Amino acid sequence: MKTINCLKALIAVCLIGISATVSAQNIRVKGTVTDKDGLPVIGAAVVQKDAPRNGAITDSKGEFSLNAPSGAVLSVSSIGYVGVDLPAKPEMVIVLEDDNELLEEVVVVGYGVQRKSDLTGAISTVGAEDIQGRSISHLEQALQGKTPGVTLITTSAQPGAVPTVRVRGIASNGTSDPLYVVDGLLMDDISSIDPNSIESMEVLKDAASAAIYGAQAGNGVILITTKKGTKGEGSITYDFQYSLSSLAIKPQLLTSKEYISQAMEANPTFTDDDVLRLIEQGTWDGQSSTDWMDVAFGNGVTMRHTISAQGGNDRGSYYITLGSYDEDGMVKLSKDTYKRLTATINADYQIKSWFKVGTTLDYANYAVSPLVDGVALGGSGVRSPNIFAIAMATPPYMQDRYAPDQLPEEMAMQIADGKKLFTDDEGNYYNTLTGLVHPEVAVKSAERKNYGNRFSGTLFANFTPLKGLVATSRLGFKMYDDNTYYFIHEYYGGENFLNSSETLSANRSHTSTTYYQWENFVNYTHSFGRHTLGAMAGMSYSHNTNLYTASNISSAAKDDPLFADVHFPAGTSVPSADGLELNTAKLSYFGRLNYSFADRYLLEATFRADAADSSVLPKDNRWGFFPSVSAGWVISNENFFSPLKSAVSFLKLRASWGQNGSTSNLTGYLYANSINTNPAGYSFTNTTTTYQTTFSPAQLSNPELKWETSEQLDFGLDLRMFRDRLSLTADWFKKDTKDLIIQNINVPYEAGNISAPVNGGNISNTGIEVELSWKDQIGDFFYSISGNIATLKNEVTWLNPNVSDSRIMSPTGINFIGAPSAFEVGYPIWYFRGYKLDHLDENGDPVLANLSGDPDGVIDENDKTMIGKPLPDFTYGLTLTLGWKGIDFTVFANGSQGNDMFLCYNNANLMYTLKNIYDQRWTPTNTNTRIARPQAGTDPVRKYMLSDAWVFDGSYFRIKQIQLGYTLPSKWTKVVAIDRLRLFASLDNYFLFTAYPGLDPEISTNAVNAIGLDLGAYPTSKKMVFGVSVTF
Amino acid sequence: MKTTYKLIALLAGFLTLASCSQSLLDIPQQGVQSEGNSYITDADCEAATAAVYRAWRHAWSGNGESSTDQTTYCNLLWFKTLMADDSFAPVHTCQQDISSLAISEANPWVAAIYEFLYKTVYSCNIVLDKFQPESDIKIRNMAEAKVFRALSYYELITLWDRVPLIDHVMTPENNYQCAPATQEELWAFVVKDLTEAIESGALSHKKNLDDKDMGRMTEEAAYAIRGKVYLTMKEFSKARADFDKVIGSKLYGLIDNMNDLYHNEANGCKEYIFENIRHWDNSNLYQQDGWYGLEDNWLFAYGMNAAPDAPYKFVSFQGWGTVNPTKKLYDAFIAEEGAFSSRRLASVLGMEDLPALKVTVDQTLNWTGNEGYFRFKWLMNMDDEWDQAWTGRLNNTPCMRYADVLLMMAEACVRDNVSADTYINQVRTRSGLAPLSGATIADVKKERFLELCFEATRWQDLKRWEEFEGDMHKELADKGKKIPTTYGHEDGTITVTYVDNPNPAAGWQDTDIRLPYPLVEIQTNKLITSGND
Repeated sequence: MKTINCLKALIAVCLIGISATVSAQNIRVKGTVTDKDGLPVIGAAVVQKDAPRNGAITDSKGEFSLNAPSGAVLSVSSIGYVGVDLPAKPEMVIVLEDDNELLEEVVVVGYGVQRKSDLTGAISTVGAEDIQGRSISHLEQALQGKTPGVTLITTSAQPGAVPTVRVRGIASNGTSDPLYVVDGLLMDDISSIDPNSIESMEVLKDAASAAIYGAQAGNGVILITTKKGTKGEGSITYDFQYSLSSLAIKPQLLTSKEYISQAMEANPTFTDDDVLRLIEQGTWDGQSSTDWMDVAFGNGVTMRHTISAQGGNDRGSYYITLGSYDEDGMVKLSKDTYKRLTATINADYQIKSWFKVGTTLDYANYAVSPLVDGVALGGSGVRSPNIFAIAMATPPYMQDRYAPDQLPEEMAMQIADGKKLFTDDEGNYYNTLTGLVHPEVAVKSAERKNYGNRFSGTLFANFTPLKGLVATSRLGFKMYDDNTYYFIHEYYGGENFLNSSETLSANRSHTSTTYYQWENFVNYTHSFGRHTLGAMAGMSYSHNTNLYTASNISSAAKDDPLFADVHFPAGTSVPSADGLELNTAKLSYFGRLNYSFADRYLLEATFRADAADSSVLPKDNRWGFFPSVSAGWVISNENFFSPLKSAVSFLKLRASWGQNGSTSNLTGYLYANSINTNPAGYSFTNTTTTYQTTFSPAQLSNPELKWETSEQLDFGLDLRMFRDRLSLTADWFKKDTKDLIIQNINVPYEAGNISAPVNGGNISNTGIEVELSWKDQIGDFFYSISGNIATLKNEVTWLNPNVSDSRIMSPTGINFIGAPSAFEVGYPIWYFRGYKLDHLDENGDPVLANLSGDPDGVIDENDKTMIGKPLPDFTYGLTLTLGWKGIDFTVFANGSQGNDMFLCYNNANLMYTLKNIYDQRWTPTNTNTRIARPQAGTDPVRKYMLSDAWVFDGSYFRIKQIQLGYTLPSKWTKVVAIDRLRLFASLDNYFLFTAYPGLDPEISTNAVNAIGLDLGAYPTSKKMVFGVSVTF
Repeated sequence: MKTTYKLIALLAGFLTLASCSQSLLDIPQQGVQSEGNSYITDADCEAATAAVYRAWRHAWSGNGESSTDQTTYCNLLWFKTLMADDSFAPVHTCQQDISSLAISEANPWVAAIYEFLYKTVYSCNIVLDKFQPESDIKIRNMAEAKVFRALSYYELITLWDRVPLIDHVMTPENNYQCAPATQEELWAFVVKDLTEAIESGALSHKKNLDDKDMGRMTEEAAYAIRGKVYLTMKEFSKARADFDKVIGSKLYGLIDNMNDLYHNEANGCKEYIFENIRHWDNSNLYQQDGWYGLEDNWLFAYGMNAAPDAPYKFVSFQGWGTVNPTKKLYDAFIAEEGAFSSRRLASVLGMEDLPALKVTVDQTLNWTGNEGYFRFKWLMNMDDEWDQAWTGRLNNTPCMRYADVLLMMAEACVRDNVSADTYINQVRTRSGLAPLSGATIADVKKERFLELCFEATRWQDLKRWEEFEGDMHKELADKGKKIPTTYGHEDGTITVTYVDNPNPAAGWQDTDIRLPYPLVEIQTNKLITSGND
């Protein structure tokens, strides 16, 4: 009934609309649009306000003409001007005022806000419009491609996995995560924040912008502002997204025939007889090939709901949002999932004219069911290992699964032996004879869960006792409750002991984090004449408690979900428990001074003093002092510039210098020489087995140890031209990080003990970042195109010469082969160090380059050299937006150029899994190649596996999003009390252009010291997204 | 007005807030003791002193398999033995280089020995720096630390000639740079430490000759070490006086059966002046720092086999034969003692001795670095090593025997033209050899060579005698110039061949009189250079 009424209403409205257009009396309108200097405004849109389809565009003289009903109102608008509504007249002269919105735009800076035009530092902003409609699950992902100088390192793309953010290269041999500040709350992990609740993210890239955060700002600062209510009538918005994900790149693998042919090439004792035996045993039917990618991967579904309400008046505002994110990844069996429920409440109220209070609160409940990835096959003793590598390495002649009455003899024997083989829902047995574990067995063999609750927020009070003076007291807090759980079922997945389990181990761990920070600061601004002075001073104290407990049983009583916990041990089970509370604290004082004259000359200085607690730095060395200065010159405000003003609306030159620190690699009393005690140290008696405990210092102390310091110089330029249609921001920076924390330093033996870590290395990052955008409107057709590009040159400039072996090798290696990532003076950080392939000999065996010139031709450590680097030469992003009437269209792409990838999916033997590499292998008829003949992985071949033959260009260009949206005309939707209704569909990650033969050129084994090393991880999926957004 | 009040209240509030105490940042480290609270009581002093014994045990007789690099098996006992003319190493280039006297500054064992000795000095310095002589225990322990420090320096001086003199725990200023001291300064320091330790009167004494339970450094041991130092300094009468204190104490003697030495039977025996103590303790296997017996086991992995009912409890699974006897040693035994002397049978065996031990050569194989002889002294047996876990030996290792003291006394007497017969003959008599009358320096040297073979005294003996008789040049001239290989045949016979050592540094060169400073030391300590002498 209701529906019918609605329909009736809709029809009625349409009829009224049509009749209104038809019945009016038209007049001919001719007019000119100029700016305040009398210059014509070209391309301005003149439309009839109540009938936007009736309109015209001004020509090169600023003139237009159209027919309009008498008494109609015309809307005149153009980019860079304040739009006006005027009654239609036959002759019109319209003067448009400059739009100063861009000048007045404010950005969030540390402990305050600043007009964007007054900024003297290098700050990039990502706005809500860059996040809305994206299918990303984590906020970090919104930075990629949108902000030059910010790069993401992805160690896994599985649901719930969080990429690592790097700002302006990599500035440390250890952790170099940026600092996140969410509404003033300092955070090192923002994974629990719903991207939909974000108003803006400001990346403070240069030292001067970040220096207000001192000892935590050395790796850049990302300020995150959540949405607040706006003045006016409240609104309620509901967003819904549904996406279907699947493998973005499906690699072509070998067929059974190719696989067998390779096996024969690798092993001459493997002959046709063996193949016949495979067929006779029923292992292979002699024809078919199993596509193990299809066995492992299917489609994933993500559903996301967000509902928010906001509003405000002169005294206060509120913003409330509830979000639900539910992702089931593309691996079959729905055990790669991420679920998150989020709530945000932001509110403020002006209680007195001089007193305002407010709060920002974020709550999240999350649960991740992770799969093991990024681990080499056969490596590290991980049960149910990396199914991504399994899917690529399992022989294709192996059948996927068998009906119970068609089991191969050997599997029947396994069952008869009492082994627990898994079956699918139809009762078919998964193959246990593949040599590797079946992907579904790997997934089913364990229950894994990381889950918890995170509650964080701030409470603040602003006092304004005097005009221009605002004193803020702000309490920030985080309460996290993070848990991990796993349970390994009894199962038999194959002969290798890692592919089966006879016990039922269960494990739980719990970490609770209680953090609070108390900050008090005063902002003061004062203008006199053409001078504006600003000052800020404050202090901050923060305290963090981490409580960790864990328990484990080696075997549960029963393989039953009701017994799958630590609480139900079998009689034979060996339990273990752990627990520890760790406390850390920080005390800081900070201040900032700004001065500007006539909006032309801008000066700013900041200073921060940070004291670390004794777990980080020795007491006498705990204070760090971080200064910065910056200056700006707005040339476009100079009198002499006025002739150019019509073309160049804004031009500012910026320069900044500053020092920031990082203590993130200093946790755990690194400097101290704590005393090791050994209860069985020495015995002074021969007659009884008793011991005297020994005390011996664990290491030499290093009372001089201090924070890593980044010193950065930045020169920048902000330019807007053609009535702000074109805007350009460019920066050049040089960031030198010194005093890196280096371990394994040799000291003279007379010192008697091993050295404590020392400040022993420097890294330099330099680069240019450019953001360029053009936006315009032709009638009711809007378009914008914006792009950004960032170059990077990274080099280790100094390393303490007493470091063992004169370079640091990454501990993250490949089984049997070693680690390729090295940290060494004169090279980019964690460059790939390995052998160079000289040629393949007449048998197709690799001959490595004898770079050391060893007369005996021995290839050893001295023949290794740089064979690649994981960091790109430049990264870029491109966004194209089109709008016409209610239709919007967005294309967003990003890319990376000049980065290398080290491909290593299979390392036990030199056997190829990817068809395009297999096709290039050496054969007697294909000798002009660098891919050696397949063979067993013995020593010389393993050196080849650590050679440049496995380093590939990882450059890529990925179209991350193609989105088409339609906003229904409000006059239709208003009838059902909807202010705005937008529908959209999007193809995310559908197109990738790369020469990299692996699964995903964006994968790294870890973000610290194995960047660009691809052991096979959960790859980026492509997604088909449908969405709707309704505002009431 | 109102505004002013508000402002004042606000500023006052802020000042209160801003006065956060820095003491909030003082968070003590959990799970560890700090330097500040670890070195106070007598019990603390015992723990710091036990660390000295442990450091010395590591230096003298190994670290089991608790580390993984080439230096795992390194210890002074093997190192010094390999340098001398009683043994040769078959495998591991760094060991073969040592036994060929082709020792470069990059040799990892040179670095390891240097490091172990300074680590012992460091442990001693902690005891001496952190404690005051304010209780009996502390006074005794400080005296013990001085003895161990002197002992470490004895090894450092005799091996490297000039080394930095570190008499306190170093602090990081100057990056631990330290210049070598002169030999005079170093010897004076060693004598001072030992003298102070002895004169403190605080060192322990065994209760009686059969006291098996004295696990500490005794006053008699300190005398024995000082006597050895004086002997090396050629102050023979002082040396004799010190040895006389040991001999006159009647707390030490020679055990009857030499075969028991270096095995559990001899733990704490009257012949050990001092020893590294270990226990056969399954729950603390890896804490015993047992040297890695498998490494110095016979070449069982290479074509030898012991019958299950062999009279000796061989650990007959594998072995590398790291310390192989030289033919020169075997021949010296035969020349002096005849074919079947008990001392030779307790020290070095030939092929002819294998049938009695039910050991056979069962296939054709070759043993590099072997001249057809087998070391029997300190050959590990089933009671010595927890071989299932490969952790290393669990029996005590003597660092000085009474036989050594008697022979050093004999040497000092001969040098002083006093009769040495009493002392040398005690040693000979135990082995059933005829007593000498009017023993000469040559007799003493021969006796030391045979009695103390494989016991890490020979190289320092040769160096001590060099200035009198040029012994080092004579005895080590051809050391390692040729690498022997023994071919075992299935019929149980062997043939031995020799090839020239490809390493041009092999054999005695004048620079071999002292060890090179380790490479890392040269790189990190700018006050030491490879040519610094």
